[in-house]
Amino acid sequence: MGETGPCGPCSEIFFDHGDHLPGGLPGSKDEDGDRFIEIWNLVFMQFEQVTKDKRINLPKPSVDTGMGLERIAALLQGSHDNYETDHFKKIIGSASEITNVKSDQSNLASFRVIADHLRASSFLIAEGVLPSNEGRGYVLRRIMRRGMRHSHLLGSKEPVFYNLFDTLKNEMSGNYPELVRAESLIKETLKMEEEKFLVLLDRGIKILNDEISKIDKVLPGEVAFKLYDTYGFPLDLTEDILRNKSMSIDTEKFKSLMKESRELAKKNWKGSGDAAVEDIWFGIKDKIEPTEFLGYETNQAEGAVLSLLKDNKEVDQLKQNDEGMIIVNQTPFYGESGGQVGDTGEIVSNDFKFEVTDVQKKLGDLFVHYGKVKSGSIKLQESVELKIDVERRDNTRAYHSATHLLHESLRRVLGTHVTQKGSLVEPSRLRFDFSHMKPILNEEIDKIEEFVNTMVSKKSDVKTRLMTPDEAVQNGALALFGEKYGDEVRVLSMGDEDGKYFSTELCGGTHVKNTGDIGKFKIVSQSSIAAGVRRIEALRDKQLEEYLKNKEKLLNLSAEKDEETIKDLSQQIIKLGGKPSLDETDQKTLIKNLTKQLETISVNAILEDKSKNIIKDEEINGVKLRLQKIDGIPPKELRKLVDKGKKDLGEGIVVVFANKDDKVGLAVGVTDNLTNKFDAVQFVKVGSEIIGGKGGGGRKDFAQAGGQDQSKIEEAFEKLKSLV
Amino acid sequence: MADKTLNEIRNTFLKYFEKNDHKIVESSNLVPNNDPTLMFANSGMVQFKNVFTGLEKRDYIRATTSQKCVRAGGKHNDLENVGYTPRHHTFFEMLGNFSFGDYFKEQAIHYAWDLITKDFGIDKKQTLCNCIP
Repeated sequence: MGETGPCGPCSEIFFDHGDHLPGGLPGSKDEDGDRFIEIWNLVFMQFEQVTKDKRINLPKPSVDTGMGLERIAALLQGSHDNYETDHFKKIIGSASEITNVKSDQSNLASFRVIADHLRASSFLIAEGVLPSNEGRGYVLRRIMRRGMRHSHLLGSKEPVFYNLFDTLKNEMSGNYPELVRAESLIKETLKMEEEKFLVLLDRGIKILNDEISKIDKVLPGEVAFKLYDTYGFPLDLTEDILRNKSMSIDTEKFKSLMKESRELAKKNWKGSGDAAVEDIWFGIKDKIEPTEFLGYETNQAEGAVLSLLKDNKEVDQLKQNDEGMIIVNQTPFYGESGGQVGDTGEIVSNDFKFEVTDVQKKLGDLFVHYGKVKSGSIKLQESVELKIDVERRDNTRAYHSATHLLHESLRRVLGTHVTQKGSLVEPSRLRFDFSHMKPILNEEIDKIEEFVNTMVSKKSDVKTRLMTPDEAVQNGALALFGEKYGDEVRVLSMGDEDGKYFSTELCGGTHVKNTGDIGKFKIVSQSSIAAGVRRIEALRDKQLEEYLKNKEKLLNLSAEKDEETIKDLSQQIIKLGGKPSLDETDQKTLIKNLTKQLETISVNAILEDKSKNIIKDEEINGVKLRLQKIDGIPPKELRKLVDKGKKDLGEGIVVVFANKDDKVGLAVGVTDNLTNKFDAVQFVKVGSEIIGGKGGGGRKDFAQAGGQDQSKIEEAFEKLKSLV
Repeated sequence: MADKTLNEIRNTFLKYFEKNDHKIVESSNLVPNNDPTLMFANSGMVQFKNVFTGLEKRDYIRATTSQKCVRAGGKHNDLENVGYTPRHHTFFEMLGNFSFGDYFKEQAIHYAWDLITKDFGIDKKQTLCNCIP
């Protein structure tokens, strides 16, 4: 229990092991001896401790009792030593066999430590806690390393713990099936940590012994810091070794060096965006512990508020309608990284409700919840409940796992030159950019989809392991772009291919437990986003169904619309006296053909309409001149008309104006035998200026220009006549 | 009871309370999801915290558990003692019985006494009790 919660009077039951053991009655000054042992504590809960100074009566008095199993087992087996029970004897016996060392009084402590720490480590790893440098992971690492140091003390040069696990599993998996479920994770984590630690220990001890020979009583802080910073040798271990030699460390110096190193990191930080805003995170990071991410295992958790921000400033309180940020000590919310978007959800307590719209990681391990206070208010240090939008996360992680399967499938089908260039994993789609020089063929897309869908339909479990980066690469892991990797990496393996994993990648994201959870997968688009980089977008499961349904609807819709267009076009053709040619079966082609037919037929109709097509043939200074004006014909028809005019005249100049939709086109043709006297370009230039256009262009025998003012067509005619 | 294994003793405890209308409830995770001030579950009542205060309802009012506990960080930290005493652990199991607004002192004491003197067969003469108000 924490510092607050239900409480009340209690009654303890003790056992007297007899006067052959030292120890006084409970409550006496010698009570800590081995003779009188507390075996059971019965707590009668009548109150609730609300704050440090305030307790209230509980609505219904309750009972809470606690009895240590190891202790009662020892007692019932006739011993006061928990490590003498059948259970611990088995583990210690195995440890003795594996290390090849007999247990006796001199090494008893080491065997106890190994047995105890094996249990703690295995059960913590089984729940997804993995060794790290912060929070629960750090406590686990300390337990593991303390245990490993004792196996080292027994003279063991090889990893011991992972070999011991089988004994523990046989003993306890009956009651705790998680030990079987997580067996490989536990063994691999134990082995890796131990191998790493043995190397570190050997190196550190060598350096430390070297340094110890140079000092009298106190190890300089610089040395302890170098051991810690450069060689990863934990401070508590250095202290422990020195304590055995009655020496100590200059911890003040050590602390000041730690501080300096943090300052340096801050100075070297190349964050994105506004430097002042990024600076805030350094201030906060100095004050609070890194956020512990619980989201691999749980969707909901309680947390204590460590920092509140509004308008990029730290505040003591957030009130209703405030937009701001919240940092808590632990969170189930995933912070955007590795392409996977941050979770959304809510943070609540009593009447306080904060809608989380995004979560970003700052300086690597501060999880910042962005959002708005919907109701109530929150202050620093208060407890809150954090709940992620589970459906959204489920979809997001399915897309993340789908991305891994897609990546490997691309490599299988297109070749191993495929490497990730970018990735976006959202709850509603995935986008994947990768190196590939040419468009992906339809047959290739089919094959890629088939690979992914086969892995999905096999419904195999997804496996997470922790390894060193080197080991991960040896295991064939593909590194995902955009992630920073530390001493150890999470390795995701999924897909069953003849008992082997189909895909293995380094990844800190959240994933499905089983590939079956991904659902049907389909690539819905591909494009090129840069030289040699292609982009794929894909959908799965419900969104895919939705997409396919919509696509069908759209197709039906456009088919209906096309049918209407065809009808419309046909009617227009018939109206102009034509006969629509409807032999083509493809709707789109048919529409194209009919549109062309309608155009031709309308142009012909206009040409035959004397009120719309006015032709005046004249002869000026012995040169034949045709002046033609047509209503409702597009400029592209002009050349045809000029050519026809030239043919009709045999020798002369043809000037045609056509106007349609407020635009005027002008074209002039000069028959070849007159091009030494007249220049069509010159005519067009003069004419277009009058109708409000620009010079146009062409050759001596044909030139064309545009304009806007159809009222000036007559004026232009007269002007052109004067040029002949 | 001298020939009973640790596994059998756990079972005896749970079955005793099951016989007395308690629901055998699985141990909750070591990483608590209902208490931010707590690093690891360190007693049997952790998973029932909100049931005791009335915030959460379960479909039983009597329960018994064998709870996984870790004391190695935070308020209870036994790490440095482990190895050097016969009874310190970082990981241990805590057996417990719980009443949520159902029976109280008298019945609880009766169960405890009945179990240790009869089912466990501990000699009454070797047993002491106290009371801390």
